Amino acid sequence: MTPTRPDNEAAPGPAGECPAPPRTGHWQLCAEFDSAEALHHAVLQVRDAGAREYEVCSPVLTHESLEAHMPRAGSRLHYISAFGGITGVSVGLAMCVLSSLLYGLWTGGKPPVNLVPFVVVGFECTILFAALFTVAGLVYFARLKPLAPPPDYRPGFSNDRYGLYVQCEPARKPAVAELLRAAGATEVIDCDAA
Amino acid sequence: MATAEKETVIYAKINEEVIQSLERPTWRYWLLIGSLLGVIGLGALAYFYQVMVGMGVANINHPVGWGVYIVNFVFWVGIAHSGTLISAILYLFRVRWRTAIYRAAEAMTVFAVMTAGLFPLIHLGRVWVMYWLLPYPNTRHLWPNFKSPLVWDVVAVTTYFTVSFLFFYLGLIPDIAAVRDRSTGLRRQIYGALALGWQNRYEQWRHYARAYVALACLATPLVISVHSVVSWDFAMSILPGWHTTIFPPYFVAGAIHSGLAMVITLLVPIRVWLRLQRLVTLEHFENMAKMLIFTGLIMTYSYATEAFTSYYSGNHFETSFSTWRATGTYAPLFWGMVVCNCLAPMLLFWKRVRTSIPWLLAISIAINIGMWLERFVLIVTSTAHDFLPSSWGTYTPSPVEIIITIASFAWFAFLFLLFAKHLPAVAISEMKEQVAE
Repeated sequence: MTPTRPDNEAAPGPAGECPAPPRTGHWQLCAEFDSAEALHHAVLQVRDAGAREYEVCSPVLTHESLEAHMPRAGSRLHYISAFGGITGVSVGLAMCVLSSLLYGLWTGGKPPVNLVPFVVVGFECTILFAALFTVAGLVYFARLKPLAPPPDYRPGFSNDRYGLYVQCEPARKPAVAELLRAAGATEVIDCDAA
Repeated sequence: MATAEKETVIYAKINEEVIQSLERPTWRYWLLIGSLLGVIGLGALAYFYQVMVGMGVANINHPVGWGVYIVNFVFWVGIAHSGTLISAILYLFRVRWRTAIYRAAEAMTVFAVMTAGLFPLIHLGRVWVMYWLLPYPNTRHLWPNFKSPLVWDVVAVTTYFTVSFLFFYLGLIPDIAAVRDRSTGLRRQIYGALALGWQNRYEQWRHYARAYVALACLATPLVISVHSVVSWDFAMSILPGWHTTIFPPYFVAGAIHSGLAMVITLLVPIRVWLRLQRLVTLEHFENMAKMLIFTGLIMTYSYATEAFTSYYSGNHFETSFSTWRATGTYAPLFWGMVVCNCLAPMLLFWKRVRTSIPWLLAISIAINIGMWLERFVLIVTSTAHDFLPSSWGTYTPSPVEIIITIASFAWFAFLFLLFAKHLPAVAISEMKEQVAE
């Protein structure tokens, strides 16, 4: 029986073919595809060739079908949301309790600290903080900033094109470009020259 | 043609159709914007007059302390509700037809809350010290009373606005990036900044998808809570007509009813004006009409329950108040509300009616009017006719209040028109996702 390697783990590949990149986010080649199927096929080819860092662009949210073949999968954003919610309920209740203690209003025989009416504020603050933390987490994880996209970004990716960015040694660029073309790329761009 | 090729052709077509709606506006658009600004200016002048002269220029006085300003507040908060219903709740239930219309509904939500938020301030006597209401350590050693439903309301509506805005903006990011990629010059820079450097990368999509689901999950209980909290502004009191446990579900259903009607009212002209007929189809309107039937039935049931509870309570004040509401000074408004909110939506049971755009528009406008009347009847009558005959009275809005009310509609329309011509009114990336599925 042939041993299988788990997904999300790159194959060793021939030495020097697609070695470890200098740093994440700096791409050498960008290939453009005209369909999700072609992109999917190319991702498998590149992964099997030993590439450890590659990134895809898609005009639609199709990450689920690719997730198993990508260097990283899933998102830990829900932990941030949960943390935000816990912070929110704590802040909401603390605000009510502390302000009631600082300014005690004895109305209708009710004690100043009465949790039942504070539940409403606690609930709303839970939602508010969870939402704020979720968006802050997204901004951080997805590296969102109000700047223009990098020069190697292709406008077609927001229209009907799919992209595959690959990191590789400069000397191996022609070979990797050939591999991408063979996998169905309609165009391969040298990101360093972009 | 292969399926994959077909897909990309459709993707390009969706981009093209939505982005073409953002082309340079005609003089008619600017004329409309100018007219709306004129009405808003008139409203601002009326408000300035009220601030300078005092609250006496509004007819809110003993016994009716809450007049059309609070009516407008509750009405606009209600309008905001169906946006989140369509965008978040229907998203979680994977209702496919929402895709073409949810963006407009979300925009409507944000602008309606922005409009609603003005009214508590307009209603305030000394607006320049409004910051006294905020919880902060101050030299007066005073803190807001967090046991008061009015303070809950502030927290709930603020949260609702923030979460709705975040949800709206989050959905817009990939679409603004699509517009950025087709723009040049200053427009490209503005859309580029708004798109937050979005590049459609997997590393962005995987976190984006999680964030979108998380916000939808958070918005769903929020939408239920906000109008429940608004209803407690009334239900926590002891006045006949207000002190009832049916208010929270009744308010939530009413809010969704009015919001759906407003979505239809806005979408009918917008789809023609922006030439989006191929994306926003008759099927979408028919589905919304079916939801209107459902919410209309809930409203009818709520009105009936309210009347029955009052009769069955055996409480003299409740029964006499209910009778007065249906037969007294405000009876025409009460019956107008019943006709618009209960009977008009029932016409939609006929397929010919719910698939006719003019009929749908007429019914949705009738519901909008009916829901405003409902807020008026609900808020004004209870204070006008409480326990003691000696404190009974009537209320008619003053010209200042009427001008400010009309200006609020102009303000809402102004914001919506700005949105429709400058941001994608249909969700491009989700439309494509639907094609991909």
